[in-house]
Amino acid sequence: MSFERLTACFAVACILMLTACNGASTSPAAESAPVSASTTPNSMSIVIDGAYGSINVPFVSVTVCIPGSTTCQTIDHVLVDTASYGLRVIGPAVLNAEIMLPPVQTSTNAYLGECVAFADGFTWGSVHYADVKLAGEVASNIPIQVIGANPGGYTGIPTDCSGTGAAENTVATLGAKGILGVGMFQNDCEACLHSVTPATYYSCTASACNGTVVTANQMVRNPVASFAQDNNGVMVSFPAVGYGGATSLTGSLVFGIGTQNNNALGSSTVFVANNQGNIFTTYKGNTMPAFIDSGSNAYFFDDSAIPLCRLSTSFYCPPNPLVLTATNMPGIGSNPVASVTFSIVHLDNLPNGTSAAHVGGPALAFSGQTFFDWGAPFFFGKSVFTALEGRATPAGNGPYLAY
Amino acid sequence: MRFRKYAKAQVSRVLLIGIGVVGLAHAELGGNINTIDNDRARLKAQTQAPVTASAAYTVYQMALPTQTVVRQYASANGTVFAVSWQGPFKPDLRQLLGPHFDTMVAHQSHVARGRFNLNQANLVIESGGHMRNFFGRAYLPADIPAGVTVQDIQ
Repeated sequence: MSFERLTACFAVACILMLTACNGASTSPAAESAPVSASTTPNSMSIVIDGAYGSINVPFVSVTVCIPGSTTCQTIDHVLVDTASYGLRVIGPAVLNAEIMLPPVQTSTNAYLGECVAFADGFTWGSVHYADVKLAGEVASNIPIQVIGANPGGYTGIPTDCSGTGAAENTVATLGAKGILGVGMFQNDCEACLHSVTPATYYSCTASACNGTVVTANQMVRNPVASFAQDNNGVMVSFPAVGYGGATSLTGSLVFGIGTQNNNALGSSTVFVANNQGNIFTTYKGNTMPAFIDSGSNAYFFDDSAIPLCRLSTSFYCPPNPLVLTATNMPGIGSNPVASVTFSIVHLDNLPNGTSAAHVGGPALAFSGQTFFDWGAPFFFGKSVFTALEGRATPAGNGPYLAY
Repeated sequence: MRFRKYAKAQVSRVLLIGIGVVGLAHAELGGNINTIDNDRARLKAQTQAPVTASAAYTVYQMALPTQTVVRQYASANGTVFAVSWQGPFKPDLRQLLGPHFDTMVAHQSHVARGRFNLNQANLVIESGGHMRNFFGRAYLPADIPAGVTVQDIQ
């Protein structure tokens, strides 16, 4: 599909078109694969609306309930993140007082605290059980992180946690009311099942938090992995965006891969991911680890030939829209090798109120090639699938990325 | 794996030497490498023999218990002019960046989401990656020895 055609496409029309394409092109493999069919409502809207001032941030509304009850709250503006695992919502000023989620305990008088490092900061809080409801799907009684809550009444932040960067424990500093991690893995810290790992899980009392191992039942987990059906991965779709950007954009988060007529792989290319959740990208002759991350708000990659912006200095500002080409390969194995075209526009010149656009920025500026981060703009005009590790799909078991 | 192959090629062109000194301060960015044993102790890291990449600098590599690899770059006079990290967990950057850690925290925002970049005349800090795989580096442009480029900081 040419870029010119995409620019002429309105948001709603594109969603309908993508859905129709996926529904119409179910591959023969889907019919014979060991994947359970489902009729549960499995699709919800994702909005990119510029809330909290950042460009290209995709949000959904998530419902959390006291386990087994009808005491629930729907939280808007939770970031959809295909490169993390588990639900995190901010407690103070976001969670209503009546949503008293039972805390995960590590012993009689100790409670589970969690620190999660992201590239740009960390979240700290306590771990609680909740029923998580997304579209018609339910993850019952799973651990989630309540950001900003004090585990066991401990009011500090462990120093090894705060040593990973800046705190993002409020709506203002996180730029969202929570993070919904729907990436390719079930657990948010596999190593924490086996050994005490700095800046991850802690057993806390009012006076101290000490690093601890956790069991699988205590660990924050990807809600999709706990659904009764449509639990082998997700599909994220957005309509195309023109060079001029969009003031708002509505896409969809669809649960399951090949489980219903709205989440078929169709002619998508499948890239098996490695244990780090990476594939490989070759750009201008350099091959490097790469990932597809809806939680990154630009294409982050290195190209010293593209000028940086004068105002938004973490981004590129080419004088005219650039159309670039890279090659993607799996993280394990050598096939497929597929060319991918993407574009970069001048961020500083976008009109005020632009919330979605094809923007990019340096990864590790001016260095040798280190990584290629296919951020949110990668999802514009396509459907991207993330398949869960060990779960059957029509294209084999996850983990993989497909588009 | 392609990335490992790249790292190996880098090590193979350098000369191995030994070292054994203990101090009290940290071998933080801008500090002296003679105190690297303190970093190793605080980070519970295993160090490899330092590699002298040229007459101008030496690379000290630590493997943390989390399997994250940290490299500290010291000039001939011992000043740590750069540090880099790569692995499944972010390291304790307060330990590694010293006073520059507070500068990093003060400049963090969610305007660029999914990565952090501070590009000042006297301090550059870059951090990226995702759960299971983080990358980053920091350096002091004024302290980079003559003949060494930022491309050497990997």
